[in-house]
Amino acid sequence: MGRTAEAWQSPPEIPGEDYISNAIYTDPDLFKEELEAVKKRTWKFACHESEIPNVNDFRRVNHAGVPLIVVRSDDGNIRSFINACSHRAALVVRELSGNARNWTCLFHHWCFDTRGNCIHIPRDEAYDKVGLCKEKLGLRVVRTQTRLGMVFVNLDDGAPPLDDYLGDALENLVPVMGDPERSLEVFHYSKTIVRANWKQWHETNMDPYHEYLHYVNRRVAMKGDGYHDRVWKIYSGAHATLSPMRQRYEAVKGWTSRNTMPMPGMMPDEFRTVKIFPDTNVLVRATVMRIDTSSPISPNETLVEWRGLGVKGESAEDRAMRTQHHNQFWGPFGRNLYEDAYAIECVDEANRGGGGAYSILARHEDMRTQDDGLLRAYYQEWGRLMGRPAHDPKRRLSNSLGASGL
Amino acid sequence: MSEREKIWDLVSQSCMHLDSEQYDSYLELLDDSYEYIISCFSPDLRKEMVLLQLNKNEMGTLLKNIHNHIHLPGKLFRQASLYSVERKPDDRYSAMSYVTVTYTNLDGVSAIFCVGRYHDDIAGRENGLRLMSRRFAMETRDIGTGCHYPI
Repeated sequence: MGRTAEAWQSPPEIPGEDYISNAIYTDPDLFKEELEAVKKRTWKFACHESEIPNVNDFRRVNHAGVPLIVVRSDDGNIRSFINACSHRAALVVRELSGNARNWTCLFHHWCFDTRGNCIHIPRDEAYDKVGLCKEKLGLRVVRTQTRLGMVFVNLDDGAPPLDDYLGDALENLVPVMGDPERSLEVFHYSKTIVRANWKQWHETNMDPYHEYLHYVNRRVAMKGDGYHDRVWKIYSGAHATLSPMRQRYEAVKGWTSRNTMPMPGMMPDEFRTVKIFPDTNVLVRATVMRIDTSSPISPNETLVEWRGLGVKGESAEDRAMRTQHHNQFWGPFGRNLYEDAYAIECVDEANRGGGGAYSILARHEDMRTQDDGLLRAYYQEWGRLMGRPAHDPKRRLSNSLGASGL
Repeated sequence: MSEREKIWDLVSQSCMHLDSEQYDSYLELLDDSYEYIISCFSPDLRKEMVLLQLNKNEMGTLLKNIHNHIHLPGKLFRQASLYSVERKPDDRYSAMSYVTVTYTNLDGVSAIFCVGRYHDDIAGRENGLRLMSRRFAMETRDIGTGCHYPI
């Protein structure tokens, strides 16, 4: 039986933690607030260190709408800066990546080295009268730390260190990404702007029962032994991992088992996944790894980036096989990726005009595969940072950490 | 028809059969040794990337499974312009075509989906010209949320 407008707009008669208000996807004020309270306060995966392997290699990234440069400086350390000239804020670096000992802003030729020092201002004596000098005009440093080859940035100078932020959340990735003899490198990078809220992309990574949507996942995963018996482990800060399982790639016509050349630390056909709050997801499908991350542009526009990783220095033949396995699922012409993005765009289309009111996160299965427990933990953490409950986001929590109280 | 016209006809048919989802007809244009690649250069990584690589059998399986997927609900139109033909020994040819693909969504709005070039190796067979290989060198790097179809 359909529901009246009043019934549709009324909160579900279930505990608050079991649902969320769809205003958290669409409300422009909440969006602005979460940029400050969530995105700019948490550690953000920026890139993999293999993308800047050499001294003076740099890479542009975007975080919460802020353009950044990530660079391996002349001392070998990885640093990040806001990509804005100290003079008039023009982009200092316009290339997407490259190698340079210093960067010269195109606008008035202010020049900076890869440690962020301002090293040249044309006719700088003109600033003597007001006491400005190069030493005071360096780039804005962004905190940067690396774990298992993943480079993270944080716009909050006062945030806890990355190790404290992650805790043990990456433990399942240590055998895969932490082998110094077999380090990883990015061989695939793609990005697009999805017409959906940034949290919805990450939700697709936290909710395995959306796999009903995917023709290949239904065959490879959902019919596999133990699929429903895996258990979520949720860490402090709403990072998470799902216990591994073997999947059946040969169940898709034309595909073969992934029982040769697994990634370091992986069993043949094994699947692992780690979720890093609030926007980064690592998936390992036996022979290949994907890292995806998102950056919000507006309440219903999200930049999503996907990286594929293989083993550094491997033969061309091995790389070709890994690339094929990557592309079967995750490339822009893969059998899986479009479907996730299309699904959340469908959600957004309904929510945008107020069609949707609440989303239900009420599956309880003892934290096994299809339990909504991770989504509930995610929105508990979101609510803690925002100082607002996700099921009633117009209400302020007492003793909140939210942006307005900072 | 001249050799160039025959090649133009082959390239055009390959586009039309994919557009109209006449996959058996498309597969008939392919030599048994067919190799298909979509590639593009990533300025982010400063590397060439392979985005799809299939032989004829794999192409056939992929095409016949598309209907099982939640896939783009609108229509792709592949428009190719033959720019160059080079004759090789043994009744072989290399051809290069500029390609523009448009997508028309369910609301009837059309937009450019991707652009690039076909680099085709073509051979004369008893039953006519056949595609030996096609590399779609895609200039576009952002094709939105993705695509189940070859280009």
